[in-house]
Amino acid sequence: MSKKTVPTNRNAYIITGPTSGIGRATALELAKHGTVVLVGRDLGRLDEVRKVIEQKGQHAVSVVCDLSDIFSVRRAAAEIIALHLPIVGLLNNAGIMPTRATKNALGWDMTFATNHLGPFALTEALVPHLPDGANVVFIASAVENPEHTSPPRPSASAAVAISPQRRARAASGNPSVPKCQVRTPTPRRSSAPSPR
Amino acid sequence: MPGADAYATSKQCTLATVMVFARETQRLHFNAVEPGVNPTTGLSRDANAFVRFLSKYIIPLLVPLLMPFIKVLSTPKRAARVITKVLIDATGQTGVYYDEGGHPVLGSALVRDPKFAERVVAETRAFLSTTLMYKEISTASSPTQ
Repeated sequence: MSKKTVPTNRNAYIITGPTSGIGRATALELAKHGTVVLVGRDLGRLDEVRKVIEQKGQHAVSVVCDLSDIFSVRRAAAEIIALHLPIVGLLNNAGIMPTRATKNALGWDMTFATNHLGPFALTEALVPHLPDGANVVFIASAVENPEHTSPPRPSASAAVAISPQRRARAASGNPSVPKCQVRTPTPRRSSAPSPR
Repeated sequence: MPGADAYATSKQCTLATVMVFARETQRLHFNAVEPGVNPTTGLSRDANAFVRFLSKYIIPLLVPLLMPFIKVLSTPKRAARVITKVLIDATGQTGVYYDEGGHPVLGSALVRDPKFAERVVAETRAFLSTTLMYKEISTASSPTQ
């Protein structure tokens, strides 16, 4: 295992989704500043990035985690904590934007689980173990920057996406959770008032 | 695009989470970075063959040409520099939302509303707590555990 070769006296940064796109570029950049804990679904792809980093004489370790799977997230958090690295940064980078709505094994919307619930749970699990002054960074999106989006977002909220009904369904073991109910604003042809 | 609703919601929740975590845990620093629109990263990997062809071969040629005119366009390398700068920052900034150039910006009015953001975090916690039961079930039914 690569874990044993990772120095425990160097600052470490955790990054989710480090195998492609912005995540991969950031993992390679962060490796200049310390050990990088690579967190992702596919061990083969994680190890490919790890080897690129190690070839430069820098350090990385792979931790398998499917952010859409809450149990996988909790296992990964425990594994990271067990590394006993001086973690000074956590980057919640991983994100998906599928063109179709799909569900995970628990019936949760796959995008909402991967982009919000998983990183939220990972962060909450790691926070007690981070030293004072550590930086936690989340990758947001242009959709929340009012300079880039007009018209403004409607008041439909996250609370809608995880409504009490949905929670009750999850708690009762019935995974038939409907897809996200939030609607982005669309121009209306009629002047009829919105039902909401 | 049906997937876009959940994407926008998830990112709204992310930003709300950053704002609340920053207030709750002041010994740590929580910030958000908007990486800009990176058309070459293939975020929508399940797009059809034509769109994937455009993303892979055509758009990478256009992005550098268009970047000076479309402010929000970015590349993974540029995004990586901005993100790394925030991640190694030692000035103690917290609860800040940075744009693709690393400049602080304001989120939407909704996300800036502390009541809304706190509700997002409280409901997420409540929702995730329902899965503690699942763990017991899956552990009990799995002989390998």
